Amino acid sequence: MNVLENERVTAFVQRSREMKYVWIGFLFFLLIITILLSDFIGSVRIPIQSLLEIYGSQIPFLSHFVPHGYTLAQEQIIVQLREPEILGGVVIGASLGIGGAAIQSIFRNPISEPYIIGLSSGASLGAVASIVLGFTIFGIYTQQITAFVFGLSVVFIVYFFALKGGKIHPTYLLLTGVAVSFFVSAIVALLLFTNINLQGEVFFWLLGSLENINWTVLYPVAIVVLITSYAIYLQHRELDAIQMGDMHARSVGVNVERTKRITIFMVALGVSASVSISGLIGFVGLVMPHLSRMLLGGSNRHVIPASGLLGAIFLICADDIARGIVPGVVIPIGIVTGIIGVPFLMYFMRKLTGGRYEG
Amino acid sequence: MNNHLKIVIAVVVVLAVVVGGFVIYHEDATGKAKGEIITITTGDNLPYKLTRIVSLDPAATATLYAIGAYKYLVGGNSYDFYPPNENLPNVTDYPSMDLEQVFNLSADAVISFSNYSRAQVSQLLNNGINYVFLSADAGVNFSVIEKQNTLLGELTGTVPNATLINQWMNVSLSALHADATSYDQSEYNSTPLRGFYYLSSYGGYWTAGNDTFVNSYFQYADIINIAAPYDSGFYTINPENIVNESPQVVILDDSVNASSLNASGSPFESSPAVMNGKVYTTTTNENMFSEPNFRDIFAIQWILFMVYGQNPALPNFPINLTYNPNPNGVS
Repeated sequence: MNVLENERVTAFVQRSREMKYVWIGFLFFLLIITILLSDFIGSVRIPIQSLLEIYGSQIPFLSHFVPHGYTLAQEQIIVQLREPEILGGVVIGASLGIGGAAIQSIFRNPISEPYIIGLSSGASLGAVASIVLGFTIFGIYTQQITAFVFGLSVVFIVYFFALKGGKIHPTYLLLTGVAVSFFVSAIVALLLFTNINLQGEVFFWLLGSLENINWTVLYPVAIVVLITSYAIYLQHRELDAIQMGDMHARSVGVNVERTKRITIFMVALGVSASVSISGLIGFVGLVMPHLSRMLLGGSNRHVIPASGLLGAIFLICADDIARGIVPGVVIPIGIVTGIIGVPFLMYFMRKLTGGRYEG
Repeated sequence: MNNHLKIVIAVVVVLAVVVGGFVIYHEDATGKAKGEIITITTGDNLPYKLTRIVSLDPAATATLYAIGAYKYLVGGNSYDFYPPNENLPNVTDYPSMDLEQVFNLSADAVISFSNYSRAQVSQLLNNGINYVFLSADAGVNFSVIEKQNTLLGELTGTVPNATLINQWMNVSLSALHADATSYDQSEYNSTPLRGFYYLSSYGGYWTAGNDTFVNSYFQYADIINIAAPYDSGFYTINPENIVNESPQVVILDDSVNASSLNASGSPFESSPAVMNGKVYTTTTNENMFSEPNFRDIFAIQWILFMVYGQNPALPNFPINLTYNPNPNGVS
């Protein structure tokens, strides 16, 4: 390769990297637009003038200069209902997307997602136990806290069962996760069997919803998700190496077991916190990393933030559909993510992969 | 400490402060006093009367109308049957209540019989809206219904009317029970009839067990509820128990297909109720069998009419209402 060719290759790589940052910037812009548009959707119509004034009134120091032509009811609807629900969508969608990207890198398996390590079944057990057994130990937040604690506990159980000689083999971890999930799901079924009247309440939790998110629960979860997401992002080089195989990763100096341990712990922490306030929302953690790779290639430097942004955008849009399709009725978001998401993925797989998943 | 770690810590601290400040701002944004959860146990502790009520409970809507507090309703629900021609915005109440609609109506209270999620109730309370919970499940009998009437009277400043209705209910119940006992003794000259209330066929044989207001209907009508010994509240009864108890009377909710009782393999197939044609559908009774309120008196009157073929008289309703509360057509 002569000097001229070398310069051309370097320029191409540089341009390609810049394009990826442009994509990430575009996704961020799209997220902001989605958030603003979503504030218009609900069973009560709120004029744009009132909406802008309510936004202005929330900006410190500026609120005194903004006219207050809106009603208290309109302020309550926007500030107390729609904003935490939409920002909850951002936080939960991002944590599922980022968690999915990290887990798929560790398992080197395209059909893995955060729930595969026992998180969903554990959180379900916590939520169902609190409903069926009537726990009230943490007041009105008992259900969220028990879901969080049980979700995290089951991941630890799966991890320690899968640990062999101080090492974690992806296939062994995957199978242990599936086995323990089945076991925990059987206990959930047993609990439901003992009190059949509560099946309705549990059913809605299992399908997921952003409807019940308020500022009080969103605040701690947002902090946890921010920290864990950043911690996962800091592992992007190590995860890239692990994607090529444990042996390869060790050969380039990566401490494989430490990286897996930190990543699994961070994913478990972030996704457990998210699931505890939303219930189980499927599809996002599985598909958004794939969509990111289709758009931006395989490097986790780009895949992790893009999966977070796409997860957030997708979940807000799904929530808009859940809220808007039948006025006044909020359809469980898990139904929407499945019905809308699958054709969406099929379309993008055909359009964007260019045969990369074939053969 | 390397630079990278310093940046991470700085970012986390800044984010925590910004998000925390944002949340604290929003927690206090409404500036309204917190609402309260009100039940017949807590009683009315409010320093004011309710004047903007959303009723997600059809039984409460009817009671508020009867005690003269209908003018304080700003929102109803799609299951409201009485009073007819309701001209209130319907607030969505299933699978969860639509809080946007409730907030938009500037309600000062929501009345419900459903166990909505704690998060939803907490949203109401945090925004200064009271939550009045009137149970319709196990434990609700006529004594509880009267306490609910009184509570609604206290909350809306209409206690005298609520008291009048309670007195009317007590007199009516005594009269109906006396009538039922006399029919029973004179016509059948035997032990009381065995009855079954078939609420729904969805997922099993749903019925009303012990400690329900429907069970009270049977008691005042001098009919033995065959489902009472097996469980409390509304539940699905084992069909073997239906066969074993062999009901002589079956009251069907209008959602249940009467012809299904004759079907081969049905636990009612060879019961005296089906053999003797003593199966009665509540078609025209406007939810009297699903709403615990003062109109349940008329449900007992209807049972006595259908089962015994008698037409027991009731004392006049103590309040003059535009719409006759008695769906049996008797004023």
